[in-house]
Amino acid sequence: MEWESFIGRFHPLMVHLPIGIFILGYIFEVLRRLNFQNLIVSRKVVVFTYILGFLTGLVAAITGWFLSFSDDYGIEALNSHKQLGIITLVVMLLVIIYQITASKNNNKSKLAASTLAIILTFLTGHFGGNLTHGSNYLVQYGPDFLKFNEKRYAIDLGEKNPDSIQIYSNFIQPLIQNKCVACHSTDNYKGGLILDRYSDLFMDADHGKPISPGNIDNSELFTRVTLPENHEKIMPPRGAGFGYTDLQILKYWIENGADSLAVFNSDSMSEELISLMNRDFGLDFSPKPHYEKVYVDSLDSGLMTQLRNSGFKVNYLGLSNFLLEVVFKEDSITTDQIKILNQVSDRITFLKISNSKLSEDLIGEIAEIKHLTRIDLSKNELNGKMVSFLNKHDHLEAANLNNTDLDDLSLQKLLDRFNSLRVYLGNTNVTPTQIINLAQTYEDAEVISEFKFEKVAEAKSVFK
Amino acid sequence: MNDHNHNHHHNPISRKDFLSKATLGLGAISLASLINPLSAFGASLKTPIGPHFAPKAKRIIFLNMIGAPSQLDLFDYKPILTKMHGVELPNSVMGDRVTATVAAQATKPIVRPLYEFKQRGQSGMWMSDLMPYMAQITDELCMINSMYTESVQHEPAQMFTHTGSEIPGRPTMGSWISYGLGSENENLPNYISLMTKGNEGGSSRLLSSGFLPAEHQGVQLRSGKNPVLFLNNPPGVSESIRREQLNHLQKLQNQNYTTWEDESIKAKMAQYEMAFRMQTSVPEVMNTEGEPDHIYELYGEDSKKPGTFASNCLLARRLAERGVRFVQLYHGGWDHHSNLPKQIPKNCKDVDQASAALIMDLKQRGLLEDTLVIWGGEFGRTSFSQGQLTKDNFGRDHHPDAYTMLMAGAGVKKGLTYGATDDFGYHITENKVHVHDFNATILHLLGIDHEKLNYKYQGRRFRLTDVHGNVVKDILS
Repeated sequence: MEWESFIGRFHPLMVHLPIGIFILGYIFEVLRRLNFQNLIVSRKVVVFTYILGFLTGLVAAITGWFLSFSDDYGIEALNSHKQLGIITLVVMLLVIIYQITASKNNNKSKLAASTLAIILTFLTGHFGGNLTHGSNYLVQYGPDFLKFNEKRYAIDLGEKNPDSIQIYSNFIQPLIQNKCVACHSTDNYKGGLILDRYSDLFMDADHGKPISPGNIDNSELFTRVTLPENHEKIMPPRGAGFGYTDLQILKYWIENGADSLAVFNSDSMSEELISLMNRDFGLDFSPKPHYEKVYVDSLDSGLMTQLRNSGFKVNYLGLSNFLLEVVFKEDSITTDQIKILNQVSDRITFLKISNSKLSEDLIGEIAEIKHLTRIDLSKNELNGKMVSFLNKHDHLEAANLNNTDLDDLSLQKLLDRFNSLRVYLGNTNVTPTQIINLAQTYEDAEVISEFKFEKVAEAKSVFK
Repeated sequence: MNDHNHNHHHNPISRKDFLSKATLGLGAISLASLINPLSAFGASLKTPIGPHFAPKAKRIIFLNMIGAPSQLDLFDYKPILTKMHGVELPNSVMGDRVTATVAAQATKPIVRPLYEFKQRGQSGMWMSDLMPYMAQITDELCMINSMYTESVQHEPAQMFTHTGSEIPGRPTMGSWISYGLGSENENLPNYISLMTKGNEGGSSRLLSSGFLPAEHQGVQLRSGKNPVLFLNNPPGVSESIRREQLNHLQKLQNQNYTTWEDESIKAKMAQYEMAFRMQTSVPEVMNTEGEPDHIYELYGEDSKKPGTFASNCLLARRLAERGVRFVQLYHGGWDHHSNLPKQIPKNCKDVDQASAALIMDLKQRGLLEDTLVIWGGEFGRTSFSQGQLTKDNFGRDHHPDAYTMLMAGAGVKKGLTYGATDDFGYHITENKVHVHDFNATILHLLGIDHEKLNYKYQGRRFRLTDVHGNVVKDILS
């Protein structure tokens, strides 16, 4: 049993009495001024009502004083309510004394004094309401011009690159601003919870840590917003709760460390989240090939010219993607040409050296190509050394080895290294049984050999 | 791209000239692109605009089924049609839009698909027995059953598919792509079309580069010994004489260029040189004698006969191998208003094996890594019979509100059936794909932002997708 809090909680109940009663007194006073003397027969009725209002106001103030110890409210917002409440009470008392002592003819100044008291009552009440319901409660559903007090955060992603969209500032912060800070802010920290500053998200509140990075079960904020709809502790208590996509984003963010600068990464996003982000925000997080993820600078123009004059066709992948697609155009490649190629090896992603008399010796001279994703070495007498070369490249996706000397063992080595490779091996030394075996072992790999149709029978029409 | 290339009102060519050049015969077009003053339109093949971002596809082969094949007999399986065969199509299904050709028709009985449908491959894609070869490669295909277009007539609908406008005059897709991406092979035009001999379809207007520089026009290669009209030297002019002639012309033009500094002079010379090189490169690509037997076997018996669809498919692969950006195969004869039971099996026989063979041949060579194959017509056909439904005969009318297109290759999901129509295949119920969306997606696959590839003409910037089009992201792999 906590006496202070018990008494304090009667404050919201009590505050409505002085407001109602004092307004009633004011109405009586106005009616008398408007010559309804036969209705309000005596000035004493007015004074009596004011006294009654003052007394209930005193009770409200005392209970409010107890409630102010509860730590649920921001100091500043609380103080302005408290001080204004005390001033209002004093003014009410002065109004009553003035009503009793002043001469009968001072009606105008009496009404002025009462009007001041009424205004103060309204203000105090409004500040009190803001403490309980949040500062935008009153006009939340009103016309826009009334919402000067409201800081509503809209998500505006504009033309941003999906990879550079910070989760906290673009999604989490607006979400919390819109749904939580009315009651949980530095002004008003119900439950000891402050959510309008990033650092406070990780501070213990009355019921636990709002957010524990990497641990969804220990994140009280996540628990509260995912409770059943009619649970007494569901947050937010009024208005629309968190949307499904909101929750998925929140969960993803918490699970991945809840960093203020964290961005989405398609590797760690669930398929569901990827499709939700596309559906709700038009953001494409579908997994990207390696050549869309890395960035290299544009090539020195002298080097580009040298490469082009040495039998290579060279293209950038895109206007702002300076990775290179390089195709060797001549029918016989030399060591010198390979040396020139090696100068740009860290920029190539697609390479074709087909039908170019690239031998086992020559392929050994090609430097590692850091970002290589696709290679075409078809129509060259290559086997083991080729596979050793290919195995150096982490990002290899597809290898066209048609019409090479590739054999069973080399293919096995290649697929051991790259489980999901697309490999073309038409007209090689690989045996059909090996193809079947390996296709079963490496289900993700695509082993493409010569295609043949099955025999087809003449189809029959239902119309003759 | 330099801005000064975009407006050419000073160009000494009249509107009348332009129209006559643009509508002359096909051969004339290819010639026109080589020698007419339109090629003085500055922008050269060597200064492409894109790709804007890393492309999935580098080239397109469009197997264009002119006349509009019946999607209900081939791809979009509707068992209700079989159940309700012969029953009047309910008005509630048909809605308000009735074409003039059948408006006067007293009854509109539902017609079932002719041949049995089965689910094929690991993807379980539905396909009719009419396409026994395509049915074997469904796991490579992306089938869009929710295409729709605007016009109900062939020419405007074809024009719409190719240019984004029903009215002739805009550049066609192949020209836009050539303009946007430039050439990969300086010896061949960037946009080449082939037609099935005896089953021609499409018109020369579908090769037009509209207001784009004329070198982006499509060039038709014909079967036989003279693939490009007027390309060969006249009798008595040998290759060396022609070379000498060009060398002299080059000198004169260089003098001109020094005086005027007009880029169009260089562009024009580039076209003369291209024509000269094509005298060698075109016969080389058209000569399929070196192809091994198993390739002919793959494409089918027809592939040995020049001018057949199968032979053209084989040529399309050879053109793709040589880096031609946009190859278009026209195959007509799909306009089955009547006699569908007799006609459609013939047409399927002509195209089924070769289409599937082309896709698989590209695949086994590794070319499907960066080649996109498109298969389809300009609209669909109705689920009710046009004319009388008899025991062994019926027809289907034009139907622009729902039809099927197929895609295969670079950047599209394999084995995907996308979009859906109602039980009668009449209206789209899921994932509508407008022609503008389709074209936007094609450009996207080529690394082009369809909103950024534009050309200023008569004071306005034009695009292939006009002011519309959304990339269909769901079908991208």
